[in-house]
Amino acid sequence: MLRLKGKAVVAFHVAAMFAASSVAQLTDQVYTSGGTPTRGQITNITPAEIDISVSNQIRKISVRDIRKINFSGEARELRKVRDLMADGRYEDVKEALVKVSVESLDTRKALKADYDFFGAYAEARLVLRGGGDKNGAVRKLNSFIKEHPASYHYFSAVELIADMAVSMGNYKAASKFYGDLIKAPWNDYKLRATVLQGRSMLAEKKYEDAVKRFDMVMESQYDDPESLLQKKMAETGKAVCLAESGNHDEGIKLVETIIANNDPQLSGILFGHAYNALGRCYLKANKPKDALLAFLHVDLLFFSDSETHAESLYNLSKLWGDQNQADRALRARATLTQRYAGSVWAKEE
Amino acid sequence: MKLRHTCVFLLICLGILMAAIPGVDLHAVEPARKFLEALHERGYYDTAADYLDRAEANPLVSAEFKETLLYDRATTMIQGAGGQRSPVAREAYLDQARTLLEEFIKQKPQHFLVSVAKGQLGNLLEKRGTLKVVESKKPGASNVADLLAQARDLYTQAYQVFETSEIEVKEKLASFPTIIDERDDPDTFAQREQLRKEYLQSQLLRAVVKEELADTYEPGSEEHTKVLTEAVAQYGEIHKKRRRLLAGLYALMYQGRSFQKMNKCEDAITRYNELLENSGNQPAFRVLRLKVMLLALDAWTHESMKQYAIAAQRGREMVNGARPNEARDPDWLLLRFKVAQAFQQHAVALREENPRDSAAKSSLNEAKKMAIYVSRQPGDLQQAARALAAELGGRSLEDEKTVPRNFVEAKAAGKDALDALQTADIVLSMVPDRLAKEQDPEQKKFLQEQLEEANQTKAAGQQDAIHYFRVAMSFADAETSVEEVNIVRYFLCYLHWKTEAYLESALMGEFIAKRYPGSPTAKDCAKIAMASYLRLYTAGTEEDREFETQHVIGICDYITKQWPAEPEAAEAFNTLIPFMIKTGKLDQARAYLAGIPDNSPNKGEAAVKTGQAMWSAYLKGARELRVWRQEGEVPAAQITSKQQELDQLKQKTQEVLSDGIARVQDAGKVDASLAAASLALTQIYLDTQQTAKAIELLEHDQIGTLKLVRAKHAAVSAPDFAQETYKTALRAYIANLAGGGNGQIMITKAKEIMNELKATVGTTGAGKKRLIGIYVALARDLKQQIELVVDTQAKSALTKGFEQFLQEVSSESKELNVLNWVADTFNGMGEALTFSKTISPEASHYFNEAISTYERIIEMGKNGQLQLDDGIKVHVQLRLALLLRKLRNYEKSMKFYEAMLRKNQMVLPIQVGAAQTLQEWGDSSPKEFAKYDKAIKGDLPDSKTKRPLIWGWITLSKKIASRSDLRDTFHEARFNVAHCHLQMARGKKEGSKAAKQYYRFAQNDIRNTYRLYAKPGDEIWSKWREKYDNLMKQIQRDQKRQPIGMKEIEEEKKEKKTVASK
Repeated sequence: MLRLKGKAVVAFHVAAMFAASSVAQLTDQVYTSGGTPTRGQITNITPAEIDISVSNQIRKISVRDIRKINFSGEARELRKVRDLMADGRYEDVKEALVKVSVESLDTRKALKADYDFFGAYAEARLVLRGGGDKNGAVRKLNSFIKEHPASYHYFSAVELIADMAVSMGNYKAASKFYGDLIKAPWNDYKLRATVLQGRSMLAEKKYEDAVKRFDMVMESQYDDPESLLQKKMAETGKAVCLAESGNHDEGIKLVETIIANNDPQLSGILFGHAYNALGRCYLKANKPKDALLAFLHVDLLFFSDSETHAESLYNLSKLWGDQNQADRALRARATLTQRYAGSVWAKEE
Repeated sequence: MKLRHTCVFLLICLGILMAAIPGVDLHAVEPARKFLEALHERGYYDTAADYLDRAEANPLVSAEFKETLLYDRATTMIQGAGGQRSPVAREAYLDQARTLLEEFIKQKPQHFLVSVAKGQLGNLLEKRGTLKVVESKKPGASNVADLLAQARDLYTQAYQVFETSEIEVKEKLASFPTIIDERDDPDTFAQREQLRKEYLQSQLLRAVVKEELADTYEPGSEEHTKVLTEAVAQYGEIHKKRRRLLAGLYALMYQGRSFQKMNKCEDAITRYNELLENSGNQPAFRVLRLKVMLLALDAWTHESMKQYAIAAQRGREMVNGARPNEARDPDWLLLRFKVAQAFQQHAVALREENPRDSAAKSSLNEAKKMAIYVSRQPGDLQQAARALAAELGGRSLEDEKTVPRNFVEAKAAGKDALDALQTADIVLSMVPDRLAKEQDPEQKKFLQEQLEEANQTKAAGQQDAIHYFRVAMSFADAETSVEEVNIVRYFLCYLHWKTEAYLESALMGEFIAKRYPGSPTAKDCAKIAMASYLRLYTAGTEEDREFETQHVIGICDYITKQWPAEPEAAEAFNTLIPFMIKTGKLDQARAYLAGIPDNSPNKGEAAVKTGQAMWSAYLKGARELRVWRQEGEVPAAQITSKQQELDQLKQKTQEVLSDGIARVQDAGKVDASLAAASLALTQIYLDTQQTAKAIELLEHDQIGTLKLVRAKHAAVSAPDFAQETYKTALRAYIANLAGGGNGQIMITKAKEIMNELKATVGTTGAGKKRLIGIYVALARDLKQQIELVVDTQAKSALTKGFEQFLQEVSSESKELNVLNWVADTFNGMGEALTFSKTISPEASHYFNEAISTYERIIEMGKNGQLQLDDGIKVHVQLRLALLLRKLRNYEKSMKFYEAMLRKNQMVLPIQVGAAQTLQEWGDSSPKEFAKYDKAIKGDLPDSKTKRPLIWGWITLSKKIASRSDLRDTFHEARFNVAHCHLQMARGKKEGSKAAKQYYRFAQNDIRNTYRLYAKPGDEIWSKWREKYDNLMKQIQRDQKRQPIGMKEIEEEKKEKKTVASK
């Protein structure tokens, strides 16, 4: 899947810089996670894979493995946008898109799809980070999905629109979109979508339904590393459901097992989720000091994922206040509103 | 000040502590240590204490972490004590810390942290004693005697702790061998070093506590003198033994201070002078010198000494040497304040002697300036400095600083400060020269004063100006004109640049330039932004310059577009080009180059650099193309397109380099950059068959690289430059043989070059090896040179020229590396003339020349004319075997393989080559089908063991099946087994039992490989899957089945899985 995060982004960018300097590229180039790019003629694109003809042989490349595609004959300006996207420079993406001549997109349908996706994706990411017109951003993403249902960006767009829906508190829509994501042909992706669906149900306080989703993931037979991570993510979700349903001790035990059996250096995001879950379990168990320590773990050590960090800051701002630590409460609140203005947690009172 | 001196040691202790702890809970389930450190870092000591209280019962915390809970609680308490405003609370924290440390030492006597904990305990007692002394000196303190008694008790306890620690450490040290070699036993060495440090710390802290103990007695009393005398002796002992260490120098300073406390100022000053003479310039020595000066000022101005002039003069010297970042440091402010006092005392003393003494006035002025400076800085001294300034007749802070009431006033105040600053800059740039030349003492003195005043104005003026302009910005409202606001912004941008706050100056400058491009200050702001980003880029680390790079490019690009005709644009272009080159955006670099005006003096250098980068890109592309051609996987159209792209690049590079070289050449300067460009252009001429031009440039008097190399010019001193030049020259002279010039002259020149090349690498073993490497590269270059020629006649002429030279060299030479090179070059020439599987007569001729030369090498080895070791023999034999296979002389080729394998059967490339030769022999004719069986199962069985000498593909694949690094070769072997079986099937009668059997074998070969070795997602498997798929389709077509390739086998596997799951 073309997820524009992490290390892949760096590699993507470096490769993109060299590619951008070439003139009059006559073939399409598909960059995957390893090795040299596959050069040839792209003959078919679906949300799951693309077909590329190399020496008259059709090769199928899974969208998940694709880091980047450079289309033959595409405008240099569009390629620059790709690089900016890879860098996460969404403000610049918006500016750079203006310079792309719309006529230059007429040659291939895929170019128009890329153009529309970059615009919608960048806007939504900016709104999610700093706040703004969320409805407008959702409309653009929706329009992209309708106009380009076969684009290889399809699942990225669906996931982002679901995230947007969560940030707007529209859990019903989020659940639907995460449901669409489950249709993706990749095992761990299905699991991740199910976890996200469970989490949106959790946010909606539909604990029984959420537990069903998490159980589905935990019981799945897949055992590749990414699927295993999703199973643990599901466990953190289930722990919160248990706590919310009155079984906080069981929830605490479940999270403690996750923490005890995993390496914090290898799975920082998992640990962020686990400590937030632990904090919520302790809150339900009426142990505010323990809860505070759990959420502090996220604020001080596992803050790389913005939504997870925002959740911990929200809870800390409450808990510090209860501990008569007004300055620390204000600090947590200020960080939350300044850094994660677009998060659903920033809107919670 | 009292508390300050111990900080150094506390930090040292903490340093040891921090170095020792990280490994403790490395494998903990919860990152407890990191969490505790993060809590400390944020100052959440109370929460840290809560966490530690809960840790005992926390199942997520490791046992190792729980081991040191008492110790961690104690350090949390000690650090937390600093944040307590109430002395009672502070005491309570320290008390608790002490109990915890004692408990820890008692409970875990063997723990490695015990000695550190003891140090902490001593520090803690000393800290508490000092607090008592400070409290006793507070105005109105009622229980002074009691407080001092308590302090005495605490100091005594601290003294005992350090004394005990010293004895313990000494005993531990005695158990170490006298001599430990760090290289032999680094762990023991490190342990002893750590103990030595601890020993020194304990000694020094013991003496410090002794000195502090004196503070609890009445100054001048018998006890006071006795304790201080003991301290002096202890410090003296340490300094005597450790005079080269910083700790030894501190001991000397403390010794001086102890003398001073006994009113023995002369003794103190002797020690201070010794320390002030120390020329060490490291930060630690600088800090020490400042501390010494502060003490020395007290000693010089003491009523028993009254050396005010010395104090004022020495103090001023140090103040003038303050660095910009030190100007507002509290200790430096204290220094200024003390120097101001010294000047004041000096003036008073002068007036006592002579009320009209003019020097008294200038001394008072000096005192006033320093006092005003300090009074402007917020802090503990501000009040006292204001009072002193007022006493000296200076204006108070309120008088000194205009308090602006609106935008206009604030802007004007800022501008005044800025003007004063610029005047000071002028003074600082002009006066030193005049001062050096001035003879009149009065005038000299006046200039000196001017200089000092300018220095002070500069230090204070920058901050004042920034302050006022910021105030102005805060006054700006809707009624303030944008232009006025932008002028203030511009001043701020400039001041940030002056004070080296580059990020601020960059952001402010970029904002004005982009937001208000029409503003009169926009261009200057853009220039400051560009320069600031460049400074940030230079200061950044290699790995983390993305932000700076993007912004340098962004602002330069903006300048070139916004003000294309201005000189700033040329400067921006010159900045941009290296960045574009670095990021591989050569088209953009070229576009920027075109943007530099023709009359710009920098254009030539920019062109040379761009041209070189383009040439590097060309060489890189050419290498890539070579790989594409060798692998044969990239479509022909793409190769053609790439070739055209490279040809264009070469053409453009030639243009850019010619232009650049001509421009730089006109300037008359020959540097490394020009030499590299000249060599690159020569190589382009060679690659584009402009041989005469290449030779002309090589031999050019001013910029010819051959000339420069022969003259040993500094511009060509880079490693390998001479060798690269000789290689290029050799290619040029050889290539010129084809041009119809005087052949003999060219051959003579080429031979000269070969001799020079040989001389540069030397005659050592390494040199000879290097020469072989150079010849190999040269053979490749010559081959490429032939390939680059499109015209058939020209190609033929060129190869004939090469042949003539090679024959000449070969006939004369008896050197292995030369003969080997000749053979390799003939081989390369043959390959360059081979365009398909069919070998042309011309190519065959060169392959045979290569064979003859290799055979001659072997022959010369046999008759002793050449020394051939086993490695070289194998190399030559392998080459011969390959060439003979290429010429379809399989029988002779196999003889060489056999000879090599008889020497060593275990060399994989030889086994692969032998199997491949047998297979190709099988391919060559239906009569030779039996060779397929040998290729599969091996050949030449041992008479006793019956094991074949040549393994064949099956044995070969079995031997390397478990080697992940040889997966490619493994699949090559497996694939060839199937290939041979397919060919064997085809050799049988269609539909016959035998044919069916071989088809089945071939199919099973692929099926078994898939079942046992296919790894979906593995890059090597993906590559070979395509080949297996192709082979499978051939089998299916032969059997009149639907050619679905590998799907057939893959479906089978899926079906089996489904059945199994049911």
